[in-house]
Amino acid sequence: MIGGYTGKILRVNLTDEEINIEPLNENYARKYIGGRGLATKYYMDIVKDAKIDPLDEKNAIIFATGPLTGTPSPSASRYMVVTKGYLNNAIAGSNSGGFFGPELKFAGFDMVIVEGKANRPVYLFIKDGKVELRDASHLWGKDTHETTDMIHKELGDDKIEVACIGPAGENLVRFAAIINDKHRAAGRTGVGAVMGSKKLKAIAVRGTGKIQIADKSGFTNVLKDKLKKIKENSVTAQGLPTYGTAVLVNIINSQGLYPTKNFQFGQWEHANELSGESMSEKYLIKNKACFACPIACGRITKLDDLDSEGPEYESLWTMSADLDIKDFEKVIEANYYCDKYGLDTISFGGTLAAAMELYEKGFIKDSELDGIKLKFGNAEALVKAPELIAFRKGFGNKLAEGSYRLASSYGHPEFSMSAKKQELPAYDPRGAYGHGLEYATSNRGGCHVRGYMISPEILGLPEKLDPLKIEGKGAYTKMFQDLTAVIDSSGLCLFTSFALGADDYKDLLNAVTGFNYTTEEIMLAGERIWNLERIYDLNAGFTKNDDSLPPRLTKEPMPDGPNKGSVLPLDILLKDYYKARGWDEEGRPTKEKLKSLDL
Amino acid sequence: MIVKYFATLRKITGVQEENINAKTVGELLEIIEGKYGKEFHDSIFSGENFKKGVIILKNGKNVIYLDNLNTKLEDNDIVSIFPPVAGG
Repeated sequence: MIGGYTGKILRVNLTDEEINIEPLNENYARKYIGGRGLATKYYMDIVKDAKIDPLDEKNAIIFATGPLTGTPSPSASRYMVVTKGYLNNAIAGSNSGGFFGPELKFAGFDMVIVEGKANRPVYLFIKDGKVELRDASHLWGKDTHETTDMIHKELGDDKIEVACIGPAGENLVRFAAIINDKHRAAGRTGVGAVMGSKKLKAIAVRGTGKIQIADKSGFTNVLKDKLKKIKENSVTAQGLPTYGTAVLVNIINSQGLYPTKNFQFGQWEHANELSGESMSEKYLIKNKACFACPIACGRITKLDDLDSEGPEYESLWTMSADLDIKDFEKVIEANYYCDKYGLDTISFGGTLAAAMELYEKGFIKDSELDGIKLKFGNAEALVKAPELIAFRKGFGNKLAEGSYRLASSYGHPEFSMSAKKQELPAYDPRGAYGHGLEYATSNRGGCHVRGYMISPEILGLPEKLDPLKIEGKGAYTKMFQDLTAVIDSSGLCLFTSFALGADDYKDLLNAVTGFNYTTEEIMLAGERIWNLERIYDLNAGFTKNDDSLPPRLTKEPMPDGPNKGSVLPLDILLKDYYKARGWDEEGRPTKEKLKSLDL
Repeated sequence: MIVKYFATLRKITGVQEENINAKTVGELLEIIEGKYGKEFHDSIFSGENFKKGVIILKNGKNVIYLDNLNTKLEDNDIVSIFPPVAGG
């Protein structure tokens, strides 16, 4: 028996309001696992034209769980949104935790594939295998919190899980997110805009079904073993639960790779005042765990009458050091508004940082700004920006296009700190070369969670690598990227990887699915998924030239801190990486490589 | 020199930073252990080695790329000590 999967895929065409239920392709499931991998395979089968406009009616958007999602496996909360991203036209896979993914499984589906465009706002309601498209005219214009509450009220069940867009998705902001559980975001790549273009306001799910486990007794033992590892690991048992992800602020800043003022500097003098430690001391009410998570890194924070979650490390950084804003309360407030309006926090802050540099260098004029000075350090601009962007009001309309298009419109794309037009996260790669390689080669554009090389290079996990050495980084980055593809496809949270390794994921997948993978086979599946995404991007028109980073990182020496003088030797790193991947010099998978991956 | 403590170490030391003088990183850690006891030791060491993920920086440079426990210290140095932490 194959366990883990419900065996059913829901297909909805919004143009003609057609709803179909199809059986899961089990051969695909074995080859691509689920979540990110399986959804990418289905997406590429359905949307043949890789050059399609992301907002075209013929584009599809897929909400996909993994075989472990909703099982008692540790941190088995994740679902993945796969489509062509509106931010950068690359393959978009954006994942989120909370409780939506498990609920979708309990309601009877591994995946929801949405095609077409509705002629009026609608939302999808799925309850224990029954599916209904409902009018959402009254929800259009509402924020993500209001939308969630209104759906609960009108359906009379506050246990319904809601994934929805806010005004940002409706108004086609390039970096609009999909929000579930009010504060959990499938944030990156502009998946919310694709949902908005289809006039799909929300997917609401409620289920009471159970997920079958192939080897029940084996799973009990495997689960016990993996939970023990997580409970005995200092990171997953102490660091993350106590301080959340923002515990990284001081560690990254102390080592001189904490991007400051749009990556102009590598250290910020106020880091300790706006860190995980200080957040716990001043604003933390309690931890919050996603489904089946023994780590509980989520933060419930309180600020006057504003009950919020987070900010997480990346969000905290992008709204503080990257903008030189020292007011912690304004950062918490702006982070709250981003969730409420449905904005990706990393791209939000990165775009604002580029705008501030363009303003300070004289390219953006006061006459364009409706009275708001875009100077670094201006907290007023930070808290006003989410609304201006989400509703595309005034200068917010330009910011809604993201940093690359904004900076290019002034003739200076170099001030956009992005890769493949997606804003970079909170690590300056001049202080961690492998992580820079990860930024440049991430299939969805600038991203830290496709192969988190900060872990070995800076945190020393699972082993310490010299962050400023080139040798071996290509192969190591490849290995991390392939393993991450496995984790993303299984339905587990990436944070489990601080305590678990490839053998552990193999054990969990085998006990749940019964597929009897070897560790080599799951790593090969990860590599297959990575190459599939690469093929998509190449077909979409990306080339080796897009595996690049802003000149600030590759040509301008780091001006300060322990990495002073360092530049990222990206060309050398890329050659090493392409070789490790078995790709040609142009970064294309060779015929032999594709054959070995059964692609 | 200034010694800075981070994350869960602050719960043990009760301070974020303090002045301690020592000639090497090893000597400094011995002084700190003497002050805060076994709990501090167990947060940093597994047997005689640093726990996986422990980071000790001298002026932002990881001491494993300097001379590890034998890394020499001077009065104006800043030493930062982190237990195993991660995020992202």
